[in-house]
Amino acid sequence: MILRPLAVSLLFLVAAATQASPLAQDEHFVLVRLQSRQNFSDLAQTWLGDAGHAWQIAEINGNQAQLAGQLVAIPRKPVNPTSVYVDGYRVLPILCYHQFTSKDTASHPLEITARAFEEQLQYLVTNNFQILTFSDVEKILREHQPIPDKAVVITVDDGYRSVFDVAWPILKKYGVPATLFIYTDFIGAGSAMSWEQLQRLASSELIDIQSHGKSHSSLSRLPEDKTAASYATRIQSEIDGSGAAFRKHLDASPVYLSYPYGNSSKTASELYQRAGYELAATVTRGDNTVFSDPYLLHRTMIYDSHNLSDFAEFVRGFKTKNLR
Amino acid sequence: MNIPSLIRPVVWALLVSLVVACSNMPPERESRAEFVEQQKNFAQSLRSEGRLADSRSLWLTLLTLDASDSQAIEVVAQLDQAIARRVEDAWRKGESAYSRGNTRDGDIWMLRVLAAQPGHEAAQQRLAKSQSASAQSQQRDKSLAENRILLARKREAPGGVNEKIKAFYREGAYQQVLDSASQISGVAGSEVGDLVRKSHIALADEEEAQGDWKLALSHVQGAIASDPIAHDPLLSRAASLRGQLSDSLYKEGLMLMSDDLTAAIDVLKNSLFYNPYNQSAKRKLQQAQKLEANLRRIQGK
Repeated sequence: MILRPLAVSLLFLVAAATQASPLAQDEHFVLVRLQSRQNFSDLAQTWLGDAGHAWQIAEINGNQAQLAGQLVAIPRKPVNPTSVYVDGYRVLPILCYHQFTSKDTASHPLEITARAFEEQLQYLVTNNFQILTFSDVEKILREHQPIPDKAVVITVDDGYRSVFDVAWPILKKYGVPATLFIYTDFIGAGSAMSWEQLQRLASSELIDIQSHGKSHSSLSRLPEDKTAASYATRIQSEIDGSGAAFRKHLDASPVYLSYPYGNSSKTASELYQRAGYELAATVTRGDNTVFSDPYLLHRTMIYDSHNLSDFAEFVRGFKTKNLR
Repeated sequence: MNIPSLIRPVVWALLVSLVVACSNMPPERESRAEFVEQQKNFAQSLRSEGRLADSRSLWLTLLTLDASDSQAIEVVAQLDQAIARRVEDAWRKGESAYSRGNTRDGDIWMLRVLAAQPGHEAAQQRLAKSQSASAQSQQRDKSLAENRILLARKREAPGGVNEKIKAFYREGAYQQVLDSASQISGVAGSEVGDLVRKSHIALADEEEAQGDWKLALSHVQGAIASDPIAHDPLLSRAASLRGQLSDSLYKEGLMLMSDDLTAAIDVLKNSLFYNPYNQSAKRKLQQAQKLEANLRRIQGK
C-alpha cells in the first residue's frame, strides 16, 4: 500500500523533469530548458498553443540544434508580426484549383491529373510547407499574426464531383487541408458534387466548405445592371441564396468567398462584408502580405500546363528585396 | 498476485525514467552560460549585417534571463536609437514619394520602416491602404475589359439578319439559327455569336438525349468554336462526350468482331480516335488486327 503514494510522487517527478517549466520570463519572452525528447514543436504547442508556430521559436534561437537541457527563448507575441525583414518579406501563396481527373491526361486547362496533383502535394509535404486554412489567413490578416515560413493555402473552386472522387483521397493521404468554394446552384447537377458528398467532406477535419456565390454570375457591375440599386439587389440575392442553401444543407453560414470569375467591385465587397464575410479571394495573381485587403486576396490558378518547377515558383513564400 | 507486486515494476520504471531524464541534461548553470554566449554572438552578427530589429530581439532574450545585464541594456538602447533614425529617414522618404504620386517607391520605403521596426503601426496602415487601392484598380480594369466584351456581343449584325436569327431562336428553331448565322462572317463576340452558341448547346442536348454522341459532340464543338471564351466549361462536356462516343464505338466494334473483322477494326480505330486512352478498345483492336493477320496468312496458304 505504501508503494502507491510513492509511485504517484515519482510520476509527478518524472512529469516535472520532462515538462519544461519557465526558468525566467518577462513581457517579451519565456525561457525554458528543453527536456529530453522534446523539440520546438512541443514547446510551440505548450506555450503558443500551436505546434505550427515552432518556426517562431527557431527564429529567435538562431535555428540551433534542439538539445536536451539547452535554454530556449519562447516569444510571448510574434517578434516580427509583419513578416518584413531587411532582405525581403514573406508572402502567402493561395493556390486555386478547379477540376481533377484520374486519367493520364487532362481534357482541358483547368483540369489537373491526379498524378500531377499528388506530385504537387508531395512537394509541399516533403519540403515541410505549412498548409494553412482560410481561418489561419483570417488570423494573419485580422489578428496581426506573422506569415509562417513556407506557408501555402489550397483552394478549389466550383464544386465538381472530381474533387470528391479524385482530389479528396489524395488530400486525405497527405493530411493536407483545403478550402472548397462552391456555388450552390451547381450542387447536385451532372458533374457537380451532391450535398451528401459535401456533408461528408464538411465533417472531415481537412475540408472547409465556403461560398463561390449562388449562380456563378460575375459580381462586378455588368451592363445589364442598369442602376446601382438593381446591381446591389442582384449581389444581395447571391449572398442570400447561397447562405440559405448552406444553412439548409450544411447547417453552417459561409464566411469566406471566392468571387466567381474572380470579379469584384467595391459594392460587392461591402455587401459581403456587411453579410458577415471575413475574407474574399479573386483569381488575380499577386502577393498576399499581412497588409493585403482581406476582401481582395490574390490567388494563383493552377493549370494542367504547369509543371513542378512552375509550381515550386508559385509557392515561394519570400520576396527578396533590399530593405536595409 | 497482490497490488504492491504489481506496482513495484512501475515504480522502478518511473525511477529509471527520472534518472535518464535528469542524467541527459547538462547542469543549469552551464546551459545558462551557453545560452548567453550563443545569443550574444548571434545578436552581434545580426547587427553587423544591419538586421537591427532581429538583433534587438535577441538582446531582449538576455534581459529576460537577467534584467540587470548591463551590456544587454546598453546595446538595446543603442539599437533603439539606430532603429529610430532608420525609421525616421525611411518614413520621411516614403511620405515624400507618396506625395509625388510615386506609390511604388513609397511602398518600398514603408517596407523599410517595417524592416527596421516590425510593429510600426502607421507604416502598416500606409501599406494596407496602398495595397488595397492597387487591388481595387486591378479589379476595375478587369471588370472594364470584361464589360467591353459583353457590350461587343450586343452589336447588331447588318441587313436585318440579326432580327431573323433572334426570331428563330425564340421559336426554338435552332438549326435555322445556325443556317442563317452561317451567312454572316465574324459572329464571335457578338449577340449572334451568343445565339449560335446557345443553339448549338440546345441541339447538343437533344442529340445527347437521343444517344447520338457523335452529333452531340459536333454541336458542342460548334458551340465552343462559335464564341470562344476563356476556360470554357464546354471543354469538359466535349471531353465527356468523346469518352461516351469512344465507349459506344467500342461496343459496336465488339459486336462486329464475329461478323466483319475489317469493319470491326475500322470502328475500334474510330473509338480510339475519340479517346486514345480507351484501354479496352486498344486491346480489342490489337486482338482484331492479330486475328486478321492470321486469317490472311491462312488464306494465303
